Amino acid sequence: MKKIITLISILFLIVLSACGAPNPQKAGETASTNTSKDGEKSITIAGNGGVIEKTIRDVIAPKFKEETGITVNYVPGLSGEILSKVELQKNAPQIDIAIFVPTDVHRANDKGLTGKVDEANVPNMKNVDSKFVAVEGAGAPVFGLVIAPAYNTESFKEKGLKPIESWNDLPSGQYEGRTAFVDITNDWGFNTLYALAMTNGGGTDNVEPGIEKAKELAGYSTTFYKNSTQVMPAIQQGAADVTVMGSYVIGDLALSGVPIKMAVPKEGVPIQAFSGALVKNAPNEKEALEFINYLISKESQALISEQGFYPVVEGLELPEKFQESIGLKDTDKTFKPDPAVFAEIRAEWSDRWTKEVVPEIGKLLK
Amino acid sequence: MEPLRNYADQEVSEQVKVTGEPQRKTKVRKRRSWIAGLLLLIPILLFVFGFFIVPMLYILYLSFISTDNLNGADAVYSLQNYITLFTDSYYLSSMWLTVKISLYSVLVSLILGYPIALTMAKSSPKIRGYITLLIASPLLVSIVVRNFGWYLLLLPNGTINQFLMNIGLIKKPLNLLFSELGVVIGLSNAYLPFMVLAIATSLYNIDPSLEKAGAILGASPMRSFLTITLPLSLPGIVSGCVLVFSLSMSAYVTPSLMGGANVPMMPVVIYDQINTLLKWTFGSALSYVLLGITLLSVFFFTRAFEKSKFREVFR
Repeated sequence: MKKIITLISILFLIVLSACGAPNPQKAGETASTNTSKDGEKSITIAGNGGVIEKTIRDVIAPKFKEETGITVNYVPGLSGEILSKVELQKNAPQIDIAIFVPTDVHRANDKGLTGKVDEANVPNMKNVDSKFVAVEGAGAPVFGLVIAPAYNTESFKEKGLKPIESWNDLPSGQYEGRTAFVDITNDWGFNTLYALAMTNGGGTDNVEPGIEKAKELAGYSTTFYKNSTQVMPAIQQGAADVTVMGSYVIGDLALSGVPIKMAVPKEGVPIQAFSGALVKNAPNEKEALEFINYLISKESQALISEQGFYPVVEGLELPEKFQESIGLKDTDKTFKPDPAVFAEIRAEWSDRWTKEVVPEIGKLLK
Repeated sequence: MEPLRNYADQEVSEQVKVTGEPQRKTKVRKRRSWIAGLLLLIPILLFVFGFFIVPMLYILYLSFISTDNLNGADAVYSLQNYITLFTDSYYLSSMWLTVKISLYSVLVSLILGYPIALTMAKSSPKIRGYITLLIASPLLVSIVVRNFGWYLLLLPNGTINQFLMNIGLIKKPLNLLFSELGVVIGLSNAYLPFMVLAIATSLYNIDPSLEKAGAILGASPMRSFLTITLPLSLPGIVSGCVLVFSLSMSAYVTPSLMGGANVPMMPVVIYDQINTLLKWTFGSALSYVLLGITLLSVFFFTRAFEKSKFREVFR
């Protein structure tokens, strides 16, 4: 009996020790690279699914492996989810590079979850256009975009509606509820509220005018989508004619044959980029930095722009096939949101949105 | 002189020898089977401990930290998260909405599921097999895929609305999506198999001779159903209701995809708090209150039946 109990205890301890988190590496310590039996190196990237995943997995990673021999593993997820994961894994990171939206770059940096990325360790940073940089030294901008309204050109033509010229054109009974806006939990939704606030005399320090206008927007909407991936089918199926989304999605939809066009309101659209942030104490820091540098090389950026993203390095243009749907003219106004301020106000604005704006959904629809 | 032999004692000790040996063997056998049972349970105990109890304890610990910092030195321990939760009408109404929608889903699943289970119980094994396969087949498809299917069907210009408008039943599209109705449809569809299989299992165990006896004594089929079949299937109904209720209370994908922002059920609110706002501590408190309400509801529900006039069928 005693022998059996001893055996069980030993087994229990072995399993428990196996369940435990691996020892965290000390800051600055050279991390060991994930190396498989045949000596193949690999890094792990966590980023958005969809176009970003496709671009890295199918376009960039194979070329990178060809040139360096390093395999790229991709873990898809939303920016906020990835930040949660990185925070939980703080003592034993499993992810090398996290692809974040600007606010999350700031939040990650603020929580001490990112490693330094600058010209010293990523030489191609010198070519990057500063308007895409979220936080100096914390990550490299990779996938350029604007968050902007978009509309179904055919439907607008049929109904004799004039194209969207202002953020204030969004709350309108003319669209008969055929709109697809995402909730504030998504970056597109948060930027919409900010744009409405800004357009109506408010800003990051005064959300009041934005909330009032957003209530009107809610009144003319059937819902605010909790998941941005639902907006695409709504537009494709013809259930919605008006939306606010990332320019790369608009470009992708247009390319697939949907009659959609981005509108740049006279008040401007927020320009930004999904950034590749080096996770602090990443297990494969050297290789991760090499990949970040590769992502912002002119060659990679040319390939990335073929997927509908604005190139973040100077001297490159958006490909011709996207110019009609998401091309930015010199006269189009853009502005760079401050992720630090956005991160600070996010909780309060989200709270007000859920309690004051959401209950107004559908109230103005006939 | 030869001492007198105590034959009686000798007989007793013989008896002890004879009866004591099997008793010891039985004891050893019992102990061995107990150890074997324990050994068989070890993997699941480890699994539950490592992947359920430990994370749940960690979440409980987090719920008492009133700052957003998870493990920093400046963490402040208090009941603040719970106080906020119980004093903010938004979270209370979200909790009520979650309970309400879960109850509707149970009701719809029960109404749709009972006749199916009854048909299965009355059918031949072959037909029963086909129906089981049909009922369980949605479980083979990912819940996300199923929800996207429903989403396309229920859109204002989706198949259902188009059909109803084409046959002239409605003039303008019904608001099937992004409403409580849409979420109830989604949840009932997702969890109907659990209800059907729980009730069917209970119905299979009813002795058919009871209904025959009722018929011989003059009971109509309806009376026979109401006084024999229905009461005897109550354990299955209760199990099915508990399963569907618990699953609905913790459902995230369906309320998120079918309800949008209009139907803020508690799991969606918890997800937003943790993943969007990174408020792990408040989200943890919300999780525990949701868990508590689910457990309490299930406890009182089953208890009510076990104490009712039908308590005999639960023994």
